[in-house]
Amino acid sequence: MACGIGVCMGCVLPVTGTDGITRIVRACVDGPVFRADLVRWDDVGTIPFDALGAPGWKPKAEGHLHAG
Amino acid sequence: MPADMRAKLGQVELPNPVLAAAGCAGAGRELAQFLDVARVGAIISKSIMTEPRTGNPAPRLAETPSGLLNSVGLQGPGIDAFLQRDLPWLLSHGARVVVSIAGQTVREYGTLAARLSDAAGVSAVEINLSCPNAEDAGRLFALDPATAGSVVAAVRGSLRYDIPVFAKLSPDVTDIVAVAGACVAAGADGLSLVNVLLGMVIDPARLRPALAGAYGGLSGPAVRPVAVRCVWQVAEAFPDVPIIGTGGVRTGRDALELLLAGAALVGVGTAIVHDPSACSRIARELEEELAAIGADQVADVIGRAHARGYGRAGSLPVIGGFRGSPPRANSAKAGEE
Repeated sequence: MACGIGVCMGCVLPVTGTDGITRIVRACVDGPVFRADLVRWDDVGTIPFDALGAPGWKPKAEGHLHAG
Repeated sequence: MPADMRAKLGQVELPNPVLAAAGCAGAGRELAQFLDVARVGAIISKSIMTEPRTGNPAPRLAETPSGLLNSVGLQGPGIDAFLQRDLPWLLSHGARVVVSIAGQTVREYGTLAARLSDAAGVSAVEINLSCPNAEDAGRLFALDPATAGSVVAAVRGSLRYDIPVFAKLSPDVTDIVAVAGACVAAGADGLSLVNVLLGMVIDPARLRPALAGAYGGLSGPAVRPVAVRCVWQVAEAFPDVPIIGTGGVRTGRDALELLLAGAALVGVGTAIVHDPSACSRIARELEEELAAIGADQVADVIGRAHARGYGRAGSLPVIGGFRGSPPRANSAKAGEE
């Protein structure tokens, strides 16, 4: 974390919402407290493939190219 | 006598020439507890893409001498959520909004421009050219005049005619004037310089790169001389093209420096990470700096450092300064035009 106010996007964690969707959220403002069962502990420091906005989130209709 | 701080962005009048730079003001809401977003000159959104994007794995940030290294990776909610949630919030709180757009293909930039044409309240669009071109092995659009120009053409061609287009340039090029020229020729109404420099930190404790992505974008006071140099060069080559000068501005004195180099407006980015009230503080400090040198208005100092001193009301570009004000009787100008 650098800013502590939600603008630098440095303190992110993969957390699953109650809607079942994993989002890359900011610990500083979206937390700082999270339900322990919703934090994807094993995926901290990574981007889970199925997170919202990740390559596995939604099949792209036109098959966009990806860097990875 | 306090200086007149008003500036113009296209047809929109700003209360002052200090803008919150892209990527450093979040969606604007994050700054609301520290300042009044309506009193910032304008808020440049973080770069928006067509789809939601997670960004890169952490660690994404590293501190450098007088700087910050980031590899956030354009995390963002996508254009739908931005138009539905973020833009309305900013407008309802009185902010003037510049929307920064990013794309993986030339086509994506055009798509974003078309979507913004249907939105109300967009004061300008800033094209983030420091994005990897998925159709060219990830080479940044900003690095080549031709590719930069093709992105600008796609945006200008798809965006409503009355919304100005600013192309944000990378300083990591051999000839920034050439890239600037290509963007202007392609229809850019103004230029935003500069974006981050590529840099790297190796962590001596872990013996590994500090960032998960190895290298990232360097910003902050360490890069300010690069920004000043780029603004100087581009302003000299294109004196009629409005420039938003950004790079390491932390004080009113730094903002003045970029105005003197030829910027009509000044962006503040990394400083916000350390001081969330930076935009309003710097605007206040800039007003004091102008008063201290006897300038009555922002227009008096734009480009003043150039020997020919073209920062005179009559020869100003549309953006910047307060158009229509009479030339100052005591302006020490070379009598151009």
